[in-house]
Amino acid sequence: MPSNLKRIVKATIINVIVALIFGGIIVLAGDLVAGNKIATIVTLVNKMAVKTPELKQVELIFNKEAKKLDTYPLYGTKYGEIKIDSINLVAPVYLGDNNKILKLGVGHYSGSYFPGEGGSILYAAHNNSYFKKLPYVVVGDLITITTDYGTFNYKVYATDIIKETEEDKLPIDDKEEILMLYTCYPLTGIGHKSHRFVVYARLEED
Amino acid sequence: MKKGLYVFVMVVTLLIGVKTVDAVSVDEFINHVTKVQNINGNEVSFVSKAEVERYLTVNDISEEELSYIENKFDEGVAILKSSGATSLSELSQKDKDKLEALATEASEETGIKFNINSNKSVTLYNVDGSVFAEESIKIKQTGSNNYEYLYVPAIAIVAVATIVILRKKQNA
Repeated sequence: MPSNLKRIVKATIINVIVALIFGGIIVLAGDLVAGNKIATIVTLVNKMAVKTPELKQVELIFNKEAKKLDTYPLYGTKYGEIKIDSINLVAPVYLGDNNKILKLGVGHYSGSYFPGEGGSILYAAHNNSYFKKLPYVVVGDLITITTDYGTFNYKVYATDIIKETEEDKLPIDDKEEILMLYTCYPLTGIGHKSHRFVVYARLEED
Repeated sequence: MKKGLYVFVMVVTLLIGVKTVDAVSVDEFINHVTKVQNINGNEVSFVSKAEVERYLTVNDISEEELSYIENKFDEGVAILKSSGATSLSELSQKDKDKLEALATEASEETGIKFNINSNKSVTLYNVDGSVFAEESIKIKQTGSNNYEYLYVPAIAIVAVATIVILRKKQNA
């Protein structure tokens, strides 16, 4: 190999290694200094990057006698807002929990019930955005879900750390209205997470 | 066994089937398709009751059509039971093809669409063509996967700066 080419290859390899090290240091330093602000900025960037399709907003009609919705929101549309005062959380709630939706707000697992219907409700959100403070929720905290068809209050009765394969720890049934919130755990680090932090809350009847 | 996506797809794509059979009530249908089945030693519930109820609220389906779907659902369950598989990943390609063919045939007959996406999720559509749901695993990844947006520009900037600095040194 000509000596010039050797020098170029060597210089390039060194540049890449140095760049990776500096890049990693910059991100770690940024995380330490700005921490949550970076997550907020990244979330905003994601929101701008995600092209939300124009989805029709359906007027939600709740049948109080049957405890069922007569109309449902379209998949991917916002239908409510979740509020947890103890962790200063206010976030939009969307029907569905695919990656696009999780970039926009809290995702409602479509196989679960809706607030007010008397069954299990399952919400998810990213641990570096809307649910970044979820592990600070404690027993006794109040959670409010506000929708066009009503406001529903839940009281936390348990929290747990479960494996991602333990679906039985997030049971969906119509025996009782239980709101379950989860996010990847632990909060720090990147990449695949094998555990979830879960908050369980029971509907507070008026 | 994970949620039987093919079976559920088959169920919903038959929802406007035109064949007239003995009628079944909505409650009977829901109880039938949501009950826990024993598939080769595994207790499995294929579909969520909440979701079936929601689908039937959003889409107008007759009791005769529900009965037809129930029969097709049973055909799909029979395929799974006879396969001997204890998870979807254990299904032979032949059995997967049988289930998909069942769903596709019904979809073509009824006009109800479904789509198997590249990430293995299944998008189910309402009668009017709008998305009903995107079916995949129940527990999602909600970890820190947004940092890719920071790493790439950070590394690019540093790489360019390093190259520029080294070149200047070489030329000095």
